[in-house]
Amino acid sequence: MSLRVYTTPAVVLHRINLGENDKILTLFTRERGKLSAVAKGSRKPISKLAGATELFTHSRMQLAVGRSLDVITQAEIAHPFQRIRGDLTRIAYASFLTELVERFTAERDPHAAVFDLLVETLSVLERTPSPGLVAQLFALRLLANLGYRPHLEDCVTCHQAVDAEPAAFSPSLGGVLCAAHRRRHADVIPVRLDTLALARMLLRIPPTDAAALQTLAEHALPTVCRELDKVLRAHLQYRLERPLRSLDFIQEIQAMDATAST
Amino acid sequence: MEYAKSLARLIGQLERLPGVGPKSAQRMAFWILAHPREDAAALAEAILEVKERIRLCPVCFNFTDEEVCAIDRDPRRDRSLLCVVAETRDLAAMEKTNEFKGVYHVLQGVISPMDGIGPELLKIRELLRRLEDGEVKEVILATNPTIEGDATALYLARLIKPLGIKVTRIAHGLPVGGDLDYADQATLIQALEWRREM
Repeated sequence: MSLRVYTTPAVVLHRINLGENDKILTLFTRERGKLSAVAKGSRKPISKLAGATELFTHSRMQLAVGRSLDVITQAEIAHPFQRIRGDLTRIAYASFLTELVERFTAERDPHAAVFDLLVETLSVLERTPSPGLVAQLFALRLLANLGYRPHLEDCVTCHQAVDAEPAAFSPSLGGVLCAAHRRRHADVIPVRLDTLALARMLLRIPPTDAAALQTLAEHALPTVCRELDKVLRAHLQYRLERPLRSLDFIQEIQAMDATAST
Repeated sequence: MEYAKSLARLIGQLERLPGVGPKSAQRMAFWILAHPREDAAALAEAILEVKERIRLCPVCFNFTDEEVCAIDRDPRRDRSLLCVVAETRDLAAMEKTNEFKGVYHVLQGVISPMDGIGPELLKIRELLRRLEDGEVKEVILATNPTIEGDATALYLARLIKPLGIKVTRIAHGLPVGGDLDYADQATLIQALEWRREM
């Protein structure tokens, strides 16, 4: 029997309601990767599973192997990320993080490093004054972990130095191009050298290094951050082939903040 | 064994209902078969009638079979108190308390960034229009204590507060008859946060 029950740390990526009282969760588990599981009775107000089956929650879960879907038998919350849910902007960025993991990982393909990165970043997202920068860092690190790291050091085709302003980024090639090669590609996005430098720095600092993030946030120009958003969005969307839904919501909130501050 | 064609068709249609599996669908079909023709006609008529007569109230977006829903027509309701809920089901739950004497606004959904459900798909513009004449003094946000419910409440609060209207949110915490011992951290944190002086 013991083979049919397993325990693993898990983060809730997505959930849909099933019948009257149940939910089907998309979990990202540390040991078994992304998988779907049923949380029986979790929509009843006195359910013991209700809290642990909430989006973004990091729990230690015990699951029983089911015929089609595994069934959650016990769950103990490790971190509810309570401060994320109290802030609209943080909810938006946390949605972006979980959507990226859901879209970039395959079912039952474990990635312990990505799991740890997700939990660390969600925890940073609770308090950081610059959630946008943290989200960019997460996206870049996730890409690097899964083998989609954008090539930002020199020309992706000929490895010539890229030093003319502005440089060019090609989503289809996943990297920057030198002056000679950019003419042969139609999909290039102009990008400042400062933006490439910011991306390279984000790839070097761990999400938990609050001091380094703080320094970056203070020095990065808003135009540079927005440009990195644009490049990352194009790069992610090229790899995923479909638009990321949470990005629309992030833009909506940014527009709200912009009108509120004028 | 294969069922006669018309019986199989009925079972097939019943199976499409939420929460009804093949076995329950069969039981229902046999119940209909065993009962007088009038019972079946009453069921069929009731189904068609809701499809023909029920529509959204233009004021609060509750379901109604009249011009304006019964709550919005009731002169005893307090129009300065507006309770915002996600679904008609939630409105029904609030009404069962017999405690709330204000009026409602049904959003017909919640914001869910990951499912691509943005504010523009909900009845939010209509809510803001209702607030224009200054009659509403307090908006109570009664969305579920889930990420989507919280996101929707936070979004609405950001829009409504600048209009100078009081915005409140229903309390979160332990359920009545619940057990402190069994509550998870998330619930207890909320219960502490929403505590009040006695």
